[in-house]
This record gives sequence, structure tokens and C-alpha cells, in this order.
Amino acid sequence: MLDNSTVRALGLVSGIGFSIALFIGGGVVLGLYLDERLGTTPLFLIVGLLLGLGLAGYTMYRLTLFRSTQR
Amino acid sequence: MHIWNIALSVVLQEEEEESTFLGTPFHRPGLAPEELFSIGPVHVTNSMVTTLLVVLVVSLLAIWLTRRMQLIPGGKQNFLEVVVEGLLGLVEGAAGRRVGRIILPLIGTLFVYILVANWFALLPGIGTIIYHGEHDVPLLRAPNSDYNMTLAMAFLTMVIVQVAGFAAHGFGHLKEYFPKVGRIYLVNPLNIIDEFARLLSLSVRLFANVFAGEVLVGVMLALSFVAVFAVIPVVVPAIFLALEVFFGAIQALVFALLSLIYISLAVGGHSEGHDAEHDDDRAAALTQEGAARS
Repeated sequence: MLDNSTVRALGLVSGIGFSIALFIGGGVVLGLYLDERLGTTPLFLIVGLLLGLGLAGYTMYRLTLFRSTQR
Repeated sequence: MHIWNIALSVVLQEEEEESTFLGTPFHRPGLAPEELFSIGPVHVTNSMVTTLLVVLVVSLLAIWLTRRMQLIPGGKQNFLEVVVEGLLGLVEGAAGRRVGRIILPLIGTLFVYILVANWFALLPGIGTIIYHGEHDVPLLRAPNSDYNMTLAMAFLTMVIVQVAGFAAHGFGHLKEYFPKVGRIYLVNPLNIIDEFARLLSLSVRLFANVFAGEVLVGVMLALSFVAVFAVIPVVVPAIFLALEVFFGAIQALVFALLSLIYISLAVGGHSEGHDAEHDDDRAAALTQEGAARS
């Protein structure tokens, strides 16, 4: 029932969705937490946010463009 | 909370100490939606109000766009036909012609609703107009930044997945969960766990994205507001608002596509006119096609 293309589609679509939420959300939360602990507001927030955005963008690139040109 | 609301939020939230965020007058969204008032046992939250508004907007738009339809479409009818045909192509491509036509209303509604809701949340007034009730809380909140909303949509999808499975295979659908080995039926725990994992991932993904987006734009606005970063208070949040427009469309597409794939999996196949299903590029092509259409 589970053919190859459907499983790939599932993985791809699911991965794109999570990469955005996980990296950006994670970066913000981690940044806020570190700033609160170390009293460095808003240094780590910005670092976390930029890092999250970069990672999310890179993951999306890897997932879509890279995979489609691989074959 | 967003860029166009700076003046409004300053005016409306200046008395409220709780809402300060990094020493600015912006409201920092909490995980739970805020309750506005109760009607009997029903607690009306700000995300419910926005949801109703979005439903109203989508419904009125649909009624307006389908008025006086003609065989040779004009401006607004053309627009609607492009949207519907795009969605139809996507759904039929994944689920086959027959099943695709049946589930198009569900997938189309999910996509359009999530898209409009995500974009609606970027408008001025969302998160900044304050309701002075028991507590001062924002009157409107992005519908999908309320986990109840995304969970309800994911739950509905998973119920329809089961309905579709039974409709296609009858009680044979249960074999997936209770495979027969010899003369006894076993329980396949992995498949049962899988259903709940899908429910969880579908709902959490959308919620986390919209919520992270809310916080992201809020943080950017607040940072722009702080004196050190006030050099470009318009440009920086505007970039992130544009990103949110993009992410909102991607998430709407992801939710609709995943629902579509789950349903076509339950139906058990791509019945007719679907020779390309073993093409390894199909997944990437499907997503890119959808992204281009959205």
C-alpha cells in the first residue's frame, strides 16, 4: 500500500513543515531562556533567531532543490 | 503586534503593565488563547473570534466570487477557476481522478481556510486591539496559534482518513490494525501508534509554525522599538512579515498535502491514470508544483 513516492512525499512535506517550526521556534525559545539566565537581553535572542532562520532556510533548500536535482 | 500597529498598540496598551515585552508596549503571546467572555458553559476565546471572522471572510468571498457565473469566465470567476483547478490538479495528481474529486472539497477547504487564517493574522489589529474585560487581553489572535484549532482540524482529518479507509475496503480496512496470522487476529501496535503520531504531528506542526511566527514578528517589532535597534524600525519587521506570508502559504500547503496523502494511503491506491507513481522525483515535484500554485 505504501509506495515509494508517497512515502517520499510524506517525508518531504512533513520535513519542510517541521524544519521551519523547529529551528525558528527553538532558536527563539533558547535565546529567550539564555538571555533570562545570563541577563544578556537581547543578545542570545537575536543570535538564536538568526541561527534558526539560517538553519530553517538551509534545511528547506536541502529538502527541496537538492533532492529534486539529485537524480 | 505587527508593524502597522505600532501607534495603535502604544495607544491601546500603554496602561497595561503585563503586556510589556523587552520593555516595549508590545504584547507577548502566551501559549494558551485568552478568554474574552463566557456564554453559558462555552468560554469564548480571542482565537475563536478570529476564526469566526476568517470563516465569514472566506464564505462571503466565495459567495461573491460565484455570483453570476458564466460559461466564458470573466475577471473574478477566472481567478476562482484558477484556484479551484490548481487544487483539483494537485488532489487528482496524488489521489487519482475518482477519489480526488470526492476529497477535493475537504482538502480545498483546509488549504483555503489555513491560508486565509495565516494571512489574516498578519493584518493590523490582530493582537493589538485590547478587550477590556476581566483582564485586558487582545481581542483577536491568529486562529492557528491556538492548539485547539489545529488539533480539531487534524482530528477531523484523521476521522476522515478512517472513514475513507472503511469506504474503500469495508471491514478489510481493519486488517491494517489487526492482521490475521493463521487463524488468529493480532494487534499491530505500530500502526495504531502511527495514527496518533500523525494526529500529533499534523496539529503540532501548524500550531508551532504559526505560534513561532507570532513570537518572531513580535520579537522583531520589540527589538526595533528598543532605542539601539531603532535605526530601521520599519524595514526589519517588514522583512519578517514577508517571511510570515511565505511560511503561512507553505504551512497551508503542507497541512493540505499531508491530509491528502493520508487519505489516499487509506484508500489504498492511486486507482487510475497514475503511471508516474514510482517516479522518485514525484514527491519533490508535487511540493514544488503546489508551492508555485499557492
